[in-house]
Amino acid sequence: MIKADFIRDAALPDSRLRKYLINLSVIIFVGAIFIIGKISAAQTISAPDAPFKVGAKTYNLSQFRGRKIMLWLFSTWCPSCQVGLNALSDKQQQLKKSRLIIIALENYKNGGYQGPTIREFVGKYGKSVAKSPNWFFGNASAELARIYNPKRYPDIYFLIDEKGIIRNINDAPAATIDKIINFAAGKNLSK
Amino acid sequence: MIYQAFVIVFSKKRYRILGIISMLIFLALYLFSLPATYTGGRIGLVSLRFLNPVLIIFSILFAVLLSINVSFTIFSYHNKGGKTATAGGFLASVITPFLCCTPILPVVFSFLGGFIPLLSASTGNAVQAFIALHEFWLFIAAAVLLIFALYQNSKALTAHQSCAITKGGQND
Repeated sequence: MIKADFIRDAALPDSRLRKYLINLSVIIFVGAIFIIGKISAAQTISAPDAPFKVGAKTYNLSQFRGRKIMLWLFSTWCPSCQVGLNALSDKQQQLKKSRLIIIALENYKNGGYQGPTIREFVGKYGKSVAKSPNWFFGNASAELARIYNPKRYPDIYFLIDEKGIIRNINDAPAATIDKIINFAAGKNLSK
Repeated sequence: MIYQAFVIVFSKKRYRILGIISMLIFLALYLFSLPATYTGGRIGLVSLRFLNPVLIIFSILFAVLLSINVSFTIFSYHNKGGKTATAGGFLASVITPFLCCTPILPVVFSFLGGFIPLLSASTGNAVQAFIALHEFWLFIAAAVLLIFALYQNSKALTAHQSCAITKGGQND
């Protein structure tokens, strides 16, 4: 009996120690995940400069530094691009109010397949924004395509902040319109 | 023939229940997956925002054809009859919306391009564009495949049933 009590008393600190160790490792594990998450979220990619054409005029992305930009590379034959332009046109008031610049560029050589012209594309799906000052419709240069869309996705966009940091890379603007609105409004992109 | 097979299979209550349940499951599957061409391959509640009358009609058509095919196939299996050719139509109808405007093909082609130098990224885009511009006809082709599968299943099923009648003197 005495021996049993002794064993129990001696075991108590050990089991407490074990509990502390378990709690500590759980805290360290959760903390590590939280820190890793923060670090990866804070990882920044600077948007490389590249030229593009709007009509006959050539622009560089760096000219828009200081403004929030949505750089969108689309192909005129792509259905998600068509509904994407429609969705963005519907949200034009909000986008304009938050001073988002939308640089919508036809993919280099229209993504390798001849489709409707950019004029037809805009006329059909985004007539209301065709002449808006916050919209730039143009053509991606080979250099811009090589940098921003080397895999030639028919539909891809980049949300670039005032400092020229790429905050989000995504596709199908109609399906991800909330992300674009949140970015324009300066809200958290994860929402 | 199809009508005859339909009567044979769905005169049994358990196959009626199977048909209805599978039809509902396939309908949900198609309603969520067919708009993928607009969502960049995303499937979820977001898909429902992009449903249009054409997609809804195709979803119902595919779900009905597929559920009948599944019921016929299971009936044939239990009664040791027939083969099925349903997979082609099913795959064609489900995969088509994912082949355009999603990263699937560019990734596949860039991967293949690593092995086959002649296959450039633009090949992938040409395929994507072709699918985007002919999606409606690809859906029609998928429906035709499903109808063909239905015909084949019905043929096998009715042939088996008539054999059963001839041999056994009674229908199962």
